[in-house]
Amino acid sequence: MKYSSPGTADQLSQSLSDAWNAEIQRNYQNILKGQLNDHNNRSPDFSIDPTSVGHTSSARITWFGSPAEPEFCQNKTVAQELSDWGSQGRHGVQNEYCEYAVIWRTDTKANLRPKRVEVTTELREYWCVLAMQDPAFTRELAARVLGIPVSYHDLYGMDNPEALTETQRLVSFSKYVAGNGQQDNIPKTVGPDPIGSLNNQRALFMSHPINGLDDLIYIVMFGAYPYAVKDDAGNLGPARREDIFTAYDVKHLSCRHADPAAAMGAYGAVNCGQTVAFTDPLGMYIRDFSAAKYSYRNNPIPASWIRYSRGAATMYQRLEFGPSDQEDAFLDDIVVSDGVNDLPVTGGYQVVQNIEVGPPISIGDPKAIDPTTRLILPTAAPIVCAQAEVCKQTIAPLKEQYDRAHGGVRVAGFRQ
Amino acid sequence: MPIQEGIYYRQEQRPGCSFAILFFRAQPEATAQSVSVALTALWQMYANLKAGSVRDLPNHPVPANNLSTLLGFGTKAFSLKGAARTAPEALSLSFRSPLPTGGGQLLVGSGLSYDPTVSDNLATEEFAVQFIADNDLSVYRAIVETWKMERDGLLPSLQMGAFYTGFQRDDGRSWIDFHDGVNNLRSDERDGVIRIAASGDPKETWTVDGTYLAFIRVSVDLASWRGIVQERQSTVVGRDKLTGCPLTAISAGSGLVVAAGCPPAGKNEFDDQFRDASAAVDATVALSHIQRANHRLGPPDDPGSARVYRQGFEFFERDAAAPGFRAGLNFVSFINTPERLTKVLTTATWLGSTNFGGEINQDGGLQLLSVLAAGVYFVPPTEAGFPGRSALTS
Repeated sequence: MKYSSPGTADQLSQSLSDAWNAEIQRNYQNILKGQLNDHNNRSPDFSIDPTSVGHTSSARITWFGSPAEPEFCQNKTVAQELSDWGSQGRHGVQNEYCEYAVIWRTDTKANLRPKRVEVTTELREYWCVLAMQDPAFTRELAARVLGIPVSYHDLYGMDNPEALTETQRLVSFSKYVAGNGQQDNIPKTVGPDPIGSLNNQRALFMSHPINGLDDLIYIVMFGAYPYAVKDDAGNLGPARREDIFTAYDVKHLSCRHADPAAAMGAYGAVNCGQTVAFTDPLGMYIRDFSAAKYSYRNNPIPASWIRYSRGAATMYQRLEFGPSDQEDAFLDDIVVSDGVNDLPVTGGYQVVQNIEVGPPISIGDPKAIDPTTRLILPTAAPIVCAQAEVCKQTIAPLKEQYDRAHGGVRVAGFRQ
Repeated sequence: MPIQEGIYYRQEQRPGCSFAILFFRAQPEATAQSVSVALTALWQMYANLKAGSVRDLPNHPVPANNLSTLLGFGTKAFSLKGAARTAPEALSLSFRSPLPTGGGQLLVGSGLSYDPTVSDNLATEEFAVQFIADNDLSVYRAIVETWKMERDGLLPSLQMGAFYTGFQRDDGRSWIDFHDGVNNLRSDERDGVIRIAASGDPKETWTVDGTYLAFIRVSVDLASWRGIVQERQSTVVGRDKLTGCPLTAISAGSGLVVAAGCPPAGKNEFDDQFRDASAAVDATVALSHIQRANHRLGPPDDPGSARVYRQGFEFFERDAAAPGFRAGLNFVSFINTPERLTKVLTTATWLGSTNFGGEINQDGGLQLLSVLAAGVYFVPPTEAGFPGRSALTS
């Protein structure tokens, strides 16, 4: 079977549809090789073809879109600071398959203020396929999504992408819009972050390397094995996150919202003997947004300030939150209530905190699992996320850069 | 430092059947130092009670009945003059006050509101003490002995506030006659949900091994509930009323569809394998209470999973309004961040904007539950003197 465009947002030509499905297959085959290698040649209880898992129902696998790592490593205040730190924050910590950009405007007093937030869960690989195959379609689509004129120069750094090969278009598009996605087929001269403004100052699609199609397929397949652990008496029991992530030396993935939710969600189904597959259309979606927590002048915010697109209900890939340019209000005129706190919305973190994202997953009928087919794992120690390598390697240095950029000095501990 | 007693989260532990929570306010002139002196004396008295020793009955011990005591610090405790610590950041995720005219949302985005008769929330004082014991006498005795100390001037700077009592049921059900507390955490999952673990934030190191107590006293409108036919009640809850089997679908032809194999052969109710409801349910069942309250997200120790450890107690009291009594639940949860609970109560696809569950509760529908009192307290780890002593006096 063939997957539709993510969110069925686009009517694709046959060639574009074929190219998108070929990209899905390419990633799947690469990941499968890795899984077979890691699991003694054993396939996961996963099918890339959802029609093959028989009578299916849906499994709800979602997580909140706010970055977990800076919160685990430091605290929520730091998580908000770093996440809201423009493109540096986006590229540094927005790795929960939910990225955003804040649109800034000047008010009547010449103050630069946040006007609205663009949230995207669109997959980089999808846009790369479009850009490789059909520059005209890509340009028209980007213009429609962003609501501004888009030139080939914005997308490819040159005016005639038709003169380039598909590979050259991919490289150029990655350089200016998509980032390298840590893809092997992109030269090292292309950095992980795009250099053009289209997907830096705006959120056209996800560009963080971790928010990729390959990682999504990987993490669901990784969880789709009938893992088990033995207790002291030799009885089999369900494996926990730390058992699974430690056994396969991927503890670094366990201190996020996305990967444990996806892997353990798949495992939960497989543990009931259910085969797992991505529901068509394969993609990452905004599953819900708790708009009731926001108010404007003590009233619910206007419905027109919540604009979904690029999909359909529970499968949108884009959310624009806040007033349009034609309106006098700004994002920070909106209040979000959390407990007793009523705070102005000053950035996107306070929006994605209340967004749930996730891939729709189909699961087959449950069946009994032969205990002899279980993958027995050693019982692992709890994973202490505050001590994860990412805290030292990524979060602490980013926080230092942030503090230098903002001239901040932190004083902690007792009352002064 | 160990977590305080009164949280029965280990596999072999069960709470006693009697509960009380007593609130203390600081006197206007109180300082952290003077309150510390009072709490030290109070905690010693409780220790004596737990050993069977009553102040007025020296050398004539009484049964202790496994009394446990647990001390919580409200936000206001950290505002006492001279307090060594500032309030943990997470305590700001507390409940809102009722409206002066009565009622009002518990949290913005929540479907829970205060009862219209409630214009003052009596569960928001500086301190709270939870008592649990095997019988009512031991719990009430603890409150009376506290009053005696206050009356005798032995608790300068502290004043007793309101208290609420409750009891455990022995049938595994609640006042709406459905099984309750079924989907609580497995014992091996609880520590990661309850205990505050070390984070990278040095400001919060002192809270490690503590937890947060979230308390909501919830009244149930049994008269309205009785007006709903049984099958519909089941769609609201998400379980079959009699068997407790989790629902998977509502079929036009055959009505309620429960999980395959439930109840197991030879049994007339669910068993352990059906404690967790499946995620594979139809759109109607997806709106039910048990589906909303737990989305089976990620590992429980991730606050994003929004799992909470519940240790609730029912209540039943006389009331002037018809039907002459009020029944409900003292919802008590222990969580390493109140965000777990606020997320459950305010997120749209969870219990956000719904009073209990089911489409009839959605967006201002049937108000089955109303809040009589609510509060969030930081529960410090144990230490000499009383838990949290070093948060008041360095």
